[in-house]
Amino acid sequence: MAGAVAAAPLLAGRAPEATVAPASLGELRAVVAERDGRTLVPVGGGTQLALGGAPRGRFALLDVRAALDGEIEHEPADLTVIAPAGVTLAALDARLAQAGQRLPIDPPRAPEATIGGALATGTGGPLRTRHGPPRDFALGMTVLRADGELVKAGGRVVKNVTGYDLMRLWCGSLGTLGIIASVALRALPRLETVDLRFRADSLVEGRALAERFARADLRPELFDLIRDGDGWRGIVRLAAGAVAGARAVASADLEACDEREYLAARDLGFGPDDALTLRASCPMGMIAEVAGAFAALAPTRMLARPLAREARASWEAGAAPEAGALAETVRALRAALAESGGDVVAERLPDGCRNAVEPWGRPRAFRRMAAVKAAFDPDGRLNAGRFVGGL
Amino acid sequence: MSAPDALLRELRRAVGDAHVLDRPEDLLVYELDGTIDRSLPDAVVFPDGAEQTRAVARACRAHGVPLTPRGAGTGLSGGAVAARGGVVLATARMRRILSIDPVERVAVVEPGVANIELSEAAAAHGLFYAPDPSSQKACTIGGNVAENAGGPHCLALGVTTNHVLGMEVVTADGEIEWLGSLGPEASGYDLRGLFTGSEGTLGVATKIAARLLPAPDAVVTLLAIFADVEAASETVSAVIGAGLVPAALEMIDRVTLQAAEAGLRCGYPPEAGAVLLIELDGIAAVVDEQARRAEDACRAHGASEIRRASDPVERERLWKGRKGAIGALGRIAPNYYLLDGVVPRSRLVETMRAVGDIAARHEFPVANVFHAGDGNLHPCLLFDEREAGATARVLEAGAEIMRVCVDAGGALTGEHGVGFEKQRFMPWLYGEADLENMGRVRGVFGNEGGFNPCKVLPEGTGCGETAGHAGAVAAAGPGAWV
Repeated sequence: MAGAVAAAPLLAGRAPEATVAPASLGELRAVVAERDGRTLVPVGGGTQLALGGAPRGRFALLDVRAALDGEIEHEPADLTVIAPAGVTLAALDARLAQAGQRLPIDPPRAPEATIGGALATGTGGPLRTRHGPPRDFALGMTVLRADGELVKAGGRVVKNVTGYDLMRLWCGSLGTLGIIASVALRALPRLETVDLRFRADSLVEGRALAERFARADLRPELFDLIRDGDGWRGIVRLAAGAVAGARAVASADLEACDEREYLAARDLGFGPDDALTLRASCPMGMIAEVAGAFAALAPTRMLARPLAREARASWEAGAAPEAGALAETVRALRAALAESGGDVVAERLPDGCRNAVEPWGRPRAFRRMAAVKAAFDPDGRLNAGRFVGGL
Repeated sequence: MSAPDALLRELRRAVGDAHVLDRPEDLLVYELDGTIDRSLPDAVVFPDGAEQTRAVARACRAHGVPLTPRGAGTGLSGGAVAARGGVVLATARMRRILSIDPVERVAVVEPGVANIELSEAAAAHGLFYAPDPSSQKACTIGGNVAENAGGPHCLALGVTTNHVLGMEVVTADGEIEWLGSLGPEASGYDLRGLFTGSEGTLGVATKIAARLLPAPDAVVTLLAIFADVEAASETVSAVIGAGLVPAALEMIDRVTLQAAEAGLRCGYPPEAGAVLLIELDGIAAVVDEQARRAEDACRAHGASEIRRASDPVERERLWKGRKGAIGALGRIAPNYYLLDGVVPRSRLVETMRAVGDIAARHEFPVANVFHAGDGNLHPCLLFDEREAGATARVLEAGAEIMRVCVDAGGALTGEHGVGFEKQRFMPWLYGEADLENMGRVRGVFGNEGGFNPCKVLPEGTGCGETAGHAGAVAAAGPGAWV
């Protein structure tokens, strides 16, 4: 895993000056507080380094895993866990599993990702369908601000409105407002589930099935539709007790399957050969339109997650569309999604497309977002250039 | 501070003569919310939408007059109190349900829509809106967003922030902006999440997009009767420990039960020392099995009786004592001081014991009716404010109880908000750097101190008078909620 960083990857085509890996929180604070004019790019598991624009100016990668490692404090009776941000989701899951609990945060390549990184990027996975975005599990956080100050918000109880909800500001901020140092999370009991797969004649048909499952209150843990060759297939994960109900409302055959289908859906677009990956956040009713626009550019694979209102398409190296066509598709989709507040994010971009496509859209209230950045990192030291609008 | 005539003229021009109140007899109703922290505003204005709201915000800002937003005034932390006088901006004229999209399961409503109105409108589509504060017949969605309100059914589904997708807001610096979305994940910082629960200190929502959920296939409510609070508290841990996450898990203690029985005739046996209400929902087969496991946990911890209801009328009967509890306490004493502390679930038993000891030492009866499943306590200290020194003593006892919650690793407030009432206790939880850091979000929205002053964060001067006066002390009776 350390190799991912040791290889000093390019960020949006640019090479870091150095990789710094402080050994303790104290050292990390010192590195952050030192104003050497470099942009700092915090790195956890390194699974999302392709996300966002190029860092501004001279920059160094800041591998936080050693500095933010340590004890996981799990309180099974409270269904809460406090973890240093550098622990991996795999380590966290192993710890929770000992007491029959879990944390339903499953971004692409989840086991390697750190909890801090997963929250900072805010990318969910198949389990978003049932459990919502990762931020909904953060009860409290300690964050290392760009000036080296450690600040906290929230707490470690499951219900808490004491003070401003900075956790939601920090989650999904790509480390541009501070480096998450530790986090208190809500855990859930593990559930006995069954994975079922099915064929769908079309995305519209698959989406209709998702809707029937939702309306029948079957509460699928995940419901993903995949196209990686000819035609769509679906995967649904249900509580064991809900399977009979699902068969009753399903139009297709539901066939039990192992975890591979889930893993394929979770990691779609994040394989070693994927050069271009787009994610659209869209209303459920527009998901077929979005997939249609992706399909016109002949992606290698596509994913639709109707109940979580997102779709993803990926192109392997060599299969990526011409930059102009890609830019036009992204532009048209962003325009179509604007009213709903949805967007298209280029999660991976090949070098040839970088000048043609902004990785993020331009969200509403952008000026206010720029004010947030100015309030917490006025000198733009953390991840400058990588986030929305170059923040 | 009084509102200058020039400001009043501008406000009248902005919203119309009929929608500005400034006669003292009209203002009286607006001097308090669900607490008795009071402070008289100089004017109350009723804008009918974002444009008028913006005009009001800009006018107050230009004149340097404080502005305090207000929903239904059911809040329990003094959040709607015009702490430094000035203008109250009431959302009562913004009460339209603008749309319900049954396919996307999204409703767009104006802030003055009552929580129950949204639930009823959603029900017509087989949907529901999850957060259900006990004041849901009166409290507004706008107020719920401001306070990040909870309710009995927030254990499994989460509080308001988990159910609000986006909102049109008028910011403290007088701009109209959309935060969040109508459903999809919006790019950029989660300003929606920051705004929700900011207690009306960053701006006022003028439209809200709310997530609706499909109505449950089956619902089972259990009412389990125990000899004492400790047995009931241990049962709460056992239910959670059995891997169940009920839709609701509520506790009612003996003092409350007796008042509820006398006032509402809920059919509680006289020897009952504590009651748990456990609600499970989902598909029928799963719910039935979960209900059996919950019943087993209750029996294993000494429940003397378990009642089970699965049709709406029967379930309503079981909930009756819970929902009318605080009002029924008026039979015991004319006033109560209601707290909202949270503790880790595993500290419930010892915390309840400490609460009882504190109340006994100060010689106040204490009633407990609360969200046991998420450790959110609502001790109600019962007293008579006409008794000399009683209010001061009850505040002292309340502060001790909050301290106990904080020391147990908990928090000051689980759903009522910090408001005016608890701002001075914030340093128990957060250091100076933490509070300064939180305060920066006000600058982001252009709040230089005049927009809803004296809320959430401790402010040095000018807020002390009223805060010292009463805290969340309220008169019990019909229309009193937890």
